[in-house]
Amino acid sequence: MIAPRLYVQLDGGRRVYHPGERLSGSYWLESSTQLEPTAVEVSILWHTFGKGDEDLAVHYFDRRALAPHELPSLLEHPQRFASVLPPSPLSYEGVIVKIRWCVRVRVFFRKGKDLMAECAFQLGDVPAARAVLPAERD
Amino acid sequence: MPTDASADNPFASRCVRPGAMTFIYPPGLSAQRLVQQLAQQDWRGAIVGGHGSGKSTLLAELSAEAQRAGRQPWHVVLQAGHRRLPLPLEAIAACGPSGLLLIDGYEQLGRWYRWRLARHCRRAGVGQLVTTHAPCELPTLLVLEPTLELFLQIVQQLARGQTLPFERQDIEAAYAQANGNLRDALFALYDLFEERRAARPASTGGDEHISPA
Repeated sequence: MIAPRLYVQLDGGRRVYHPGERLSGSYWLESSTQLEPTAVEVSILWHTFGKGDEDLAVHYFDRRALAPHELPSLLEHPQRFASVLPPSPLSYEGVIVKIRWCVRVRVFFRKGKDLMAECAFQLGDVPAARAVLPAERD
Repeated sequence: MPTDASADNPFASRCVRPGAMTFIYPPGLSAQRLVQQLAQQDWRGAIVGGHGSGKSTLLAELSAEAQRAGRQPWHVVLQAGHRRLPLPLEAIAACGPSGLLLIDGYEQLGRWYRWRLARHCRRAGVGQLVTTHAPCELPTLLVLEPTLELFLQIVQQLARGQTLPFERQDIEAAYAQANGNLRDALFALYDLFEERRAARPASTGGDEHISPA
């Protein structure tokens, strides 16, 4: 049996979006048909990463329960997702905290662990911060 | 292997929070062993250690192991100034006879309240596993005493093969300055990682947007 692999891709290979823009893309599963996926979840979310407490919010969520006969279509055709992005929070690569956006797809199976894939993107164009080096402090 | 300046900081909260890190047990001990010991202590025990010594990380691991052993864990995290649990003591009975009350920050509770809590737990058959800064009336399950060697192992575990942008003496200095507080020492390395990253150009190679987990 082929180990299942899940892929997520944004249309046009884009990485940077502006608030209010429409983000769209697709995901697909590579696997043998012996698997029994029961559901697929697509989320567009942001989360913080850094030194303090973590925060996370889901902007878009879609869960699709899968009937056994739907598996071939999931394997043969990329599945689409799309959403208009919100005005904030904008992506930010700070020193203490970073705000990161991504599309996350999770496939659940009748047996075994679920499979997850993420595709990161940037919302807005806030310049990244960087730590001040000791020499610059003097 | 060069340090990738675009790599994620391995000392971020996401990587070092309890549940994300694997607790490194003293020789001869394991989660299974400690839960067996807890069961022998009638499911009453305290993990004792200073700030940032790994108590919460161990508690998270023992919670999972206790669940495998048939106990239903109920987590309570107490912050400074919390003098009581965020639920009435009478509600303890709802945890059921297979319940295990996990209290992170037990030292926040006053003696009288602890005594009443213990009485309610005994009546309901609910176990107690707590973290505390000093030995208390519950039998001590393990005393955590961080060492430099342990800290070096933790750093290695977090790096996951990534070459870190600092040397062993930087790690030793972070440990020494934190006075045994591993959490503070890890956050010092977070800052150092960011500082050293700022001094390096970001990697431009590799398309990472397709990332099967």
